[in-house]
Amino acid sequence: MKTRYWILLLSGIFLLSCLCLYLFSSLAPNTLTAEIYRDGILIETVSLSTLTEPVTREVLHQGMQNRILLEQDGVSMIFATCPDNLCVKQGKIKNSLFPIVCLPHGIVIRLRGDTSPKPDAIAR
Amino acid sequence: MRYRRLTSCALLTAVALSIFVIEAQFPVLIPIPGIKPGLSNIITLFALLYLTPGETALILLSRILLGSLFVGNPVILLYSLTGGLCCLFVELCICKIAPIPALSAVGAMVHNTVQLLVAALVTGTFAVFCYLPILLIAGIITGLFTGFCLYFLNRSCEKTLKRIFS
Repeated sequence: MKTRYWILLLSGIFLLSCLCLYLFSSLAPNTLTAEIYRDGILIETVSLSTLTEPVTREVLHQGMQNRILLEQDGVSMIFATCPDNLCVKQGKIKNSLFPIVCLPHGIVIRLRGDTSPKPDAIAR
Repeated sequence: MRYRRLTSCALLTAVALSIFVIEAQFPVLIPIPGIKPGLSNIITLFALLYLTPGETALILLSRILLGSLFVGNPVILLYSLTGGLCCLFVELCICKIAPIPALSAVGAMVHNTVQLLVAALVTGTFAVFCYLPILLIAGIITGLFTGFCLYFLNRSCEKTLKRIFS
């Protein structure tokens, strides 16, 4: 296989991935619900638009600890006892593009479009 | 295995392990699980070029097992092991037809994709697949970097290396 075919293949995958990222970010909804999963099981759902002030949630499981900060504009992991702390370093997520993943503890926090019904029009 | 080959494998494992441990001390540039330079893959690719597939697998397994022990993150062992072995398998399949940088980039993409698949199975949610595009992009960039490192090393001192490792 010639070098130019490899260049084409890798460029194609690169551009396709960029396109997917762009589409994901443009389709991400603004009103959000946070879902907290542990080992694939949904343990809590919080509608961020209903929050009036930041709240924290603790996930304790088999000596593993994660502290999650839920705010109206996003979610962040503020403390974790995992070795790499990548989930904490990821900071606040504000859209449904990337979930916060704590691989060592099996915790996934994802944001979804708010499922609560919205008014069709606002009457003044 | 002759002593000379065994010594070559041990030397390359030590180099790969040193790179792996040093790389683990770097600050995280992009805090997304699975994105890292993967510089120790240079040694795996090097072994693929100069040693047999069995010896390469041995070096890779030793580096992953000892690396997770030294870096102190045994939880990640499952991800490294599956990703590394699948990456090596694909690299072995295409090493005759792909130039070194492309071989490395494809290997890195396979490594990241398999790790993501394992993460999806372990966490039980396929939401982690949202990371696939960014992990593929990271795989191409880091894979090309490590591939070019080996390409230039190979181009400048191929004869010497062949004499040492043949």
